[in-house]
Amino acid sequence: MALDNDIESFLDEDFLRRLEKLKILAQKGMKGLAKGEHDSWKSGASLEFLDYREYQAGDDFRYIDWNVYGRLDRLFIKLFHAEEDLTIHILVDMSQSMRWGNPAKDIYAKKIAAALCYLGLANLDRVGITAFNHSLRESRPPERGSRAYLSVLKYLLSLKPEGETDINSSLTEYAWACKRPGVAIILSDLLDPKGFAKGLDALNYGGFDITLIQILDREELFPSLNGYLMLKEVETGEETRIALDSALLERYRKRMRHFLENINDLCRKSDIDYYLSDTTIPFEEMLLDYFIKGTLFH
Amino acid sequence: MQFINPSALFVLGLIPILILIHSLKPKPRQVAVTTLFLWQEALKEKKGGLQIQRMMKNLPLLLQILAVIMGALALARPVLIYPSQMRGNVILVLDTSASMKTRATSGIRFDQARKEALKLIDELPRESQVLIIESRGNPILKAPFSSDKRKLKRIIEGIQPSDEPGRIEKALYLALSFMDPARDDLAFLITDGAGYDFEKITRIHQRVRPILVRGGKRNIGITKFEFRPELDLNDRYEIMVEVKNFNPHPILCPIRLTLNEETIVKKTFGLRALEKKLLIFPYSGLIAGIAEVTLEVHDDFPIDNKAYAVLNTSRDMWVLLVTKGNFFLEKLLAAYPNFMVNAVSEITPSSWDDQTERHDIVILDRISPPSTEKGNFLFIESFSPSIPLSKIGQIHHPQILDWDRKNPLMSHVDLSGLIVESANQVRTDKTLRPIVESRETGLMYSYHKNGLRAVFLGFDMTRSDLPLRVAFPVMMSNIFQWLRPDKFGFSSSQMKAGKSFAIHLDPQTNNFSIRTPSGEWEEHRLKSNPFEYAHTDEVGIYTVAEGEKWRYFAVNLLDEWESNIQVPPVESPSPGTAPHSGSEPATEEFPLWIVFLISASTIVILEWHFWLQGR
Repeated sequence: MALDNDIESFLDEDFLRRLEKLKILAQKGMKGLAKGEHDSWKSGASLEFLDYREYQAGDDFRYIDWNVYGRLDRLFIKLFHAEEDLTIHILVDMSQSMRWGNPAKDIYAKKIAAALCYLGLANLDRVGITAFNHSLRESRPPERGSRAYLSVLKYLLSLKPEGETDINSSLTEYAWACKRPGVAIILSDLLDPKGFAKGLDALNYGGFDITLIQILDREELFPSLNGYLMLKEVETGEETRIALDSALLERYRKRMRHFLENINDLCRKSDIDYYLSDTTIPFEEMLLDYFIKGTLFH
Repeated sequence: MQFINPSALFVLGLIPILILIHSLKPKPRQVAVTTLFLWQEALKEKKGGLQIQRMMKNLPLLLQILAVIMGALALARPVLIYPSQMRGNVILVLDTSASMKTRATSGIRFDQARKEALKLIDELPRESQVLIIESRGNPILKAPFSSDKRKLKRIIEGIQPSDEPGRIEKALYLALSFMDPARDDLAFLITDGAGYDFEKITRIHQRVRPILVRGGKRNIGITKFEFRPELDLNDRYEIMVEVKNFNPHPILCPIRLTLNEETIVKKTFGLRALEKKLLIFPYSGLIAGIAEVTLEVHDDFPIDNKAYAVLNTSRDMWVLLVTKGNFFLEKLLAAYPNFMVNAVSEITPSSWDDQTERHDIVILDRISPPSTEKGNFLFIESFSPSIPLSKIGQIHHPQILDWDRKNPLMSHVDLSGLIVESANQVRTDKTLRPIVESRETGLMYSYHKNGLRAVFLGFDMTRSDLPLRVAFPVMMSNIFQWLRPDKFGFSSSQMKAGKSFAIHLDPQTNNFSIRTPSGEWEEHRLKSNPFEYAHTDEVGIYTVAEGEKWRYFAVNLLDEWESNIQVPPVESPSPGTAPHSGSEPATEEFPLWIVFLISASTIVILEWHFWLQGR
């Protein structure tokens, strides 16, 4: 029942309208985004028929299926697989810390993942989703076609944030395991004391085009705590007693700024697209910003 | 430090309560976080080491404890007690009598006294007011109350002992008159204790702290020195010298007597311990000049080893005779070889005062003068407004009833059968009693008041047989001697040191000089005649120079009390010890509660500030 409700929230009219909007925007001359085409579609000899699509202005005339035109008196083009078609790997952090927040970060991450899946599938890309915490968890191998969207949703909704985070381990494992690199979109809060640079490096070496989307709660960025507190780490259960005063708060914010700056520096050096979003920002705004920069679809 | 209200220290019992409250900290609110590693990094970043961190963590508790301590101390009313030597003023009495010139081991006794006085000044608190009295024959106020230590020490250093016998009681009474018992004023008496009943005085005056100086004890001294003419023998005199041995052992004493530096007596005599001997020496011959007696001994007190006398037989007398003519009087006056007579027939009122001043005796023969405030007068049937005697009538052939034979004016005078043709009937006030009386009126009076000496004869001597009698020159001589005793007959001019000496000067003298025994000359302006000279603090011969004329007078110690230089064997702080020893030390209190109250308030504000910062 809960799952059905969650599915409904992902399938509600509002959410779908937003996705459509994103899709149109993604298809309409956004920088770097061809109208449903990928470089891989242009590849030559061994094309595998995939599907028909109604002709749109600008499509290549060579792919107009005359037979269908003769029958239906409407222009349709043929879509083919190429051997190097785009695979989008969505890696979603499902550690315990993603459960935290209001709204919970995992919901926000799932919505982004769902949106990215929808857009990718709509563009006939192969989209795979893998969850991770201290290691890789359940995953859906990359698949193509809009029909896969519902099962993707069910998959996403079934994911529960639990366990500790080990981003390095998880990403490294994925890089080694994956035979067909592509675009890797990592959705995580990156709150791993052990760091994640090695994991990102592994993906880089694996030929992935990485996009890192950090999701944090507002309270993590700008805590509103005060007083005499016992801080308990949600993943490890470690406790620390503090008497929170304005000075300590200031130092925490400074540390957070420093942490984020380090991530930014790391991504810049590694040519990784980096986005920071807190859960108070509507996810589609974040994605819009993403699309404007045009780095999702090549 | 002491506490006036120590029970307030029970407030310190709040400290354990504070500690208990702080230890009962509320349970910390548990908060789940995802960024503990960042919080931990932030905690580590706190400045200072672990110890300081712990201290800073407990800072509010520490400040609260400190505030409680300060508050408790303030409530307990602490005072700082410190010793204060004097609370009141100090009167310093310095004995400068002759005995302070006694030779000590180094210097004289007064050198020690001066040292003690300077030390006392140094040891006094800065705010103490000091008054200095010099004690000799008469006390002298040397310095009024002052806290200027430099000035006070300068004054003390300028004080020198004298040859005068001391009168400590007078100085002490003067000192006591300045003391305020409410303020704990104290008097310090620096003395050798010689010459007076030291024990009695210090016993009576509780607020007097004596400081005895010692040194020297051997003394033999002259206590009397007199010359007198032998009765009924011209040119024969007796010289009296009294000598006392103040030592506890017998002594042989050589003595020498000189007249005008010529030895007239020289002998040696023995004295038993503490014996006093009177020596009489006869002398015949000219007895005028300076006589000196010397004990040729070496002891610790040389001042009384010599005595002086100035011997005189006659002096010049200046006489103003105001008369229209009086043969007998003029003849009589001419018979005196030392009389200088100025005769005038009338009085010039404008120069009257000047004339009376310049003459030793003024004789008014039947001429009444204007006011005669000062001078020596013989009124013969004349009246002065200055004397309460007035004429109310005339009597013919008054009969002499009696005369006052004991009066010095009538010494060796016999007026029996005196015939007087006419005499003034007079009225007098109660103070005047007739020396010669007749049935109807007094015929002779004497008057002496405030520098005015007068003899009144109420009859014209030319209209009596007085000038033909032996009584006339005798009576006139008595009158002249009574009016100016200093100018007559033999005199041994000497006096005790410290007493003032009346110097009779020529009426025409305006300025004169006096040379002291130490050779210093002093210039004086004659304001009154006789001139009272008070600076006789030095034993020896003084010279009075009046123009070309020089006269002398002698000053001696001649005081048995002062010559007894033995220091009383009483318990008193010896030189060198603190001057206030034996007295109860005064204490001062300085309240400290305000200091602690301000500290407590400051700490509370600080704690509040830290608390606000923490929030």
